[in-house]
Amino acid sequence: MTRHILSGVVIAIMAAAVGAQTPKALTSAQKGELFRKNREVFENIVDQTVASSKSPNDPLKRANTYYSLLVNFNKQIAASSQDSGRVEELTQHLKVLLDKGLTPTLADAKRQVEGGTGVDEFVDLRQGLLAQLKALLDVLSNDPATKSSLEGVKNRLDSIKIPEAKH
Amino acid sequence: MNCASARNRLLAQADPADVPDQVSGHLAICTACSAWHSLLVQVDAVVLATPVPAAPAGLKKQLIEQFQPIITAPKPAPPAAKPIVKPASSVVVLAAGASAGDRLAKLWPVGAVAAAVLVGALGWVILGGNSEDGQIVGQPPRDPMLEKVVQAKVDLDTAGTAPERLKVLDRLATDIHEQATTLSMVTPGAEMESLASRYEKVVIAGLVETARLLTDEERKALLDQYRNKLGEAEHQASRSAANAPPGSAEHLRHIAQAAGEGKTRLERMRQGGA
Repeated sequence: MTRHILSGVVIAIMAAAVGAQTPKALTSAQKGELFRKNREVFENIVDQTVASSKSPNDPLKRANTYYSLLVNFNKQIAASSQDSGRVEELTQHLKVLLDKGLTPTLADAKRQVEGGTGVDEFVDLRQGLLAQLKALLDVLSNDPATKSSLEGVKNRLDSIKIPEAKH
Repeated sequence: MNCASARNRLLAQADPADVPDQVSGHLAICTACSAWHSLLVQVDAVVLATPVPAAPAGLKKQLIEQFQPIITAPKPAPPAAKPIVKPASSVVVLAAGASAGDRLAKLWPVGAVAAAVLVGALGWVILGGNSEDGQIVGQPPRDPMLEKVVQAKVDLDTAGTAPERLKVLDRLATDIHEQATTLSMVTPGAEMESLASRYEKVVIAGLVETARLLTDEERKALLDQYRNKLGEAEHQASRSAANAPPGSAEHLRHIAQAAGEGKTRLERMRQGGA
């Protein structure tokens, strides 16, 4: 009986070891290559993060930092049209930025301007963001799966309605 | 013929003293195999000469019974027995009165395979499906640094308080410093310059300026910790710069200077200065 149990344990351990095998972590050279390729995107995101930190109480200004990000991502994605892996990676990052960063920030900005000034800036910003997103969706027209992942984001941004202008 | 095949042929013989022609040619020219063959013949002779110890009475019968199916007459099986195979003239049953544990024990290979599959699947889910950098197997490698800065941007914009924003900026500065240390040996030049300038921006324009928005209580509770971390970063970057190649060393020194400047400003703030 002990022999049987031990055999089972050995098989289980070997199966676990095989199942848990992972691709090796990236080497320094691979990280360097990826950074070289993504440097412009990296710099833009860091710059806009620092810009956001300067406006902790102004969600409209923070939302505005996403316009620059969107323009830059559009440019990078359009330039990588032959590299589907990179397009997918950049699109996924952009989706996170827009869904988890911009959407709540824009909703805060809407509440901010509803009670006072800044409605025109909000309207302009929202229109600009949606126009950039539409341009990106046009670029991705040949990639339905990637495109559909961003269409949901666009719809959510679109649902943050323009407040009535106060006269 | 080589040594291994000669020895294998000898081991396969019923009588090792009976050497096949092909092997004898090898033994004639190989002293090591010849000595090994002599030893094999001696061992075989000793084994044959060793008397078989007398077994206790009835042991042979007991042993044979363990391997024989119980053949019963064609009559109803005992209540505890469960038919498994039902030939025309006899019924092979598990031993009557065998416990449920014994019957389950006979299924151990099935249990072992099931356990192996389960453990393997758990290992895959917990460790194997994704690498430490979040890579899905089979996909091209993704840039972990890009993922970190994206997360920092999202976290900063959704942070509700100055201490939370400070934490995000501190993590971002640390990530950039680590990236610079990693890449210092492989990408000297523009990449290192980019990392150093962004590190300075995050520390001086981000972290230090955000620290100014802390209340007095928050400054007392938090500033020492961030000042110490910047001091450590300054020390580490200076040390890395000493070993880095040209094109990286000056940018690591830039990081050390920015960390030192941030540390000094936080120190001043901690003491009540602007």
